[in-house]
Amino acid sequence: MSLSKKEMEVLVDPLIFNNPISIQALGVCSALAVTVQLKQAIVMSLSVTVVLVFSSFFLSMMANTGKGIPNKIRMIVELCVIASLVILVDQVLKAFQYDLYKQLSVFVGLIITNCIIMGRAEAFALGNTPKASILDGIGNGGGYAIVLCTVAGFREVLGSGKLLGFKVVPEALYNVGYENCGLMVLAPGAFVLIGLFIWAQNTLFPAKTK
Amino acid sequence: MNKDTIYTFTYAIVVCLVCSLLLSIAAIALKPLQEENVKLDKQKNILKAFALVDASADANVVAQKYKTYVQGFVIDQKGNIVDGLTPETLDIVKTCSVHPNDIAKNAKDCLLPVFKKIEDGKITGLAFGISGQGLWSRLLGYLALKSDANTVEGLSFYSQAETAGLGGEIAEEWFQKNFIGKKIYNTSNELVSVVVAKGEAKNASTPLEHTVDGISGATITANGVTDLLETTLRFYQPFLNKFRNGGNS
Repeated sequence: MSLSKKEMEVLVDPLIFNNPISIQALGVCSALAVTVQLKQAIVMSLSVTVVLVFSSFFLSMMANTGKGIPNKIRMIVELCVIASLVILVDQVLKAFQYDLYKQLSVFVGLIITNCIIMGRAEAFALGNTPKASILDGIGNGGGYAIVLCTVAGFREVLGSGKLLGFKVVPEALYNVGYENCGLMVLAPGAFVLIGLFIWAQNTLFPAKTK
Repeated sequence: MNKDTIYTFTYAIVVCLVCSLLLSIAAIALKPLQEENVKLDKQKNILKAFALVDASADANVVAQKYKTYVQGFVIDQKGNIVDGLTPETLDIVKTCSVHPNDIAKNAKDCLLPVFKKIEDGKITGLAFGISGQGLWSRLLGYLALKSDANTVEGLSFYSQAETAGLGGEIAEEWFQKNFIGKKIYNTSNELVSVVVAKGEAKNASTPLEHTVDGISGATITANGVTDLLETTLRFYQPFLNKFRNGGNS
C-alpha cells in the first residue's frame, strides 16, 4: 500500500504538529489519570489507538455508504459504534490478557469518554475516505501515545524512582537525602508536566502552530 | 411520517441491532475463557498468600500446584464445616455483608471460605478470604496463616481499583511482604489482627509484631486494609479458636 503525500501528512501531522493532546486539546483527562506509571500509559495508548482506528474506519464507511448517517442522530450513532468497540476490547482483554485487564480495570471503560475518538470521528472520519480515516486514527493514536508515554516516564521516575517497575534512581541518592516527589504521583503533577510539554513543543516546533 | 424520519428510525434500529448482536456473541463466546481466568487468578492469589508461587507463575503451574497443595472448604459462622459448597466460587461480599457486631443475629447467613495448605499429609497453613472497602473500590484478597493459626504467611489482593502508585501499592510485593511473620493474636491470646501504620511501623503506637509500614499518600486505603483484616478475622474467630485448641481441622 503506497501513500500519497496528502495521506502521509494525515498520518504524520498529528504526531507533533497537530498533536491531539498538546495542540487539539483532546483527551487531556485520561492523560492526567493514566500517566502515573509508564506501563499503564503504553497499554492505554495501544487500546485507544486500536479503538480509534476501528471507530474511524467504521464511521467513515458508514458515512460514505448510501445516504450516510442521518444527521439528526449522527452523534448517537457515533457513540454507539465507539461504545461497542470499547466493550469488545474490554471483553477480549478479559478473555486473553487477564492480568492486563485487571491493571487497566476502569480505564478501558473510560476510553468511551476519551474526546479524541469522538473528536476525530466528527472532524475527520465523517468527511474522508475509510483509508484516510485509518491513517488519521493511527496518527492521532501515535500522537496521544507520545505525550502519554513522555509524561508517564517523567512521572514514574520522579514520583516513584522507577521506570517500567524497575528501580532507576540509585539507592545512594536516597541515602544522601533525596526523596521521591509526591506531587508527581498525583494528578496535579501531570498538569504541570503537560504544561511544560506544550511549552517545549511550541518552542521547538513553532512552524504550524498559531 | 416523511421519508427522512423513516430513514432515521430504520438506521437507528439497524445500528442498535448490529451492535447488540455483535456484543452478545462476543460475551457468550468469551465467557468460558473469562471464567477460567477468574478462577485461575483466585487460585494464584491463594498460592501467592501461601508463598507457593510468585506473581509471574503461569497458568499450568498454578493449576498443578493448587491441585497438589490446596484443599478448600466452607465454614459457617460458628466455625463448623458446611458440606456441598465450593469455596472458590463463594462470594464473601455477598455472604458476609453483616458487621461483626451483628454476627450473633445473622450467624446462619454468613458462609466463609477456608483453604488448607497440605504438605506430606499435614496441614502447614490456612488461608482465608478477606474483603473490605478501600478508598475507591472493594478490596478482595486472601490472608494466609502458618499452621499455628497465628503467624501470617502471606497476603494477596486479587481485586482492587485504588489509585495507581498510591493505594494501588497494596497489590505490590513490597507492601505484602511486610505482613510475613506478623502475629494476629497477642501474648494474652486475644485477636488483635495486623494494623497498617501511618508512616513507619516502628514509630506506631501498636506493637511491632502486629504492625506493618504504611504507604505515604494512601492513608484511607491503608485504613481500609486495617479494617478489613480485623473485620474478616472476627468472622473467622470461632473457627480460629477451635483450630488453635486442636479441635476442628
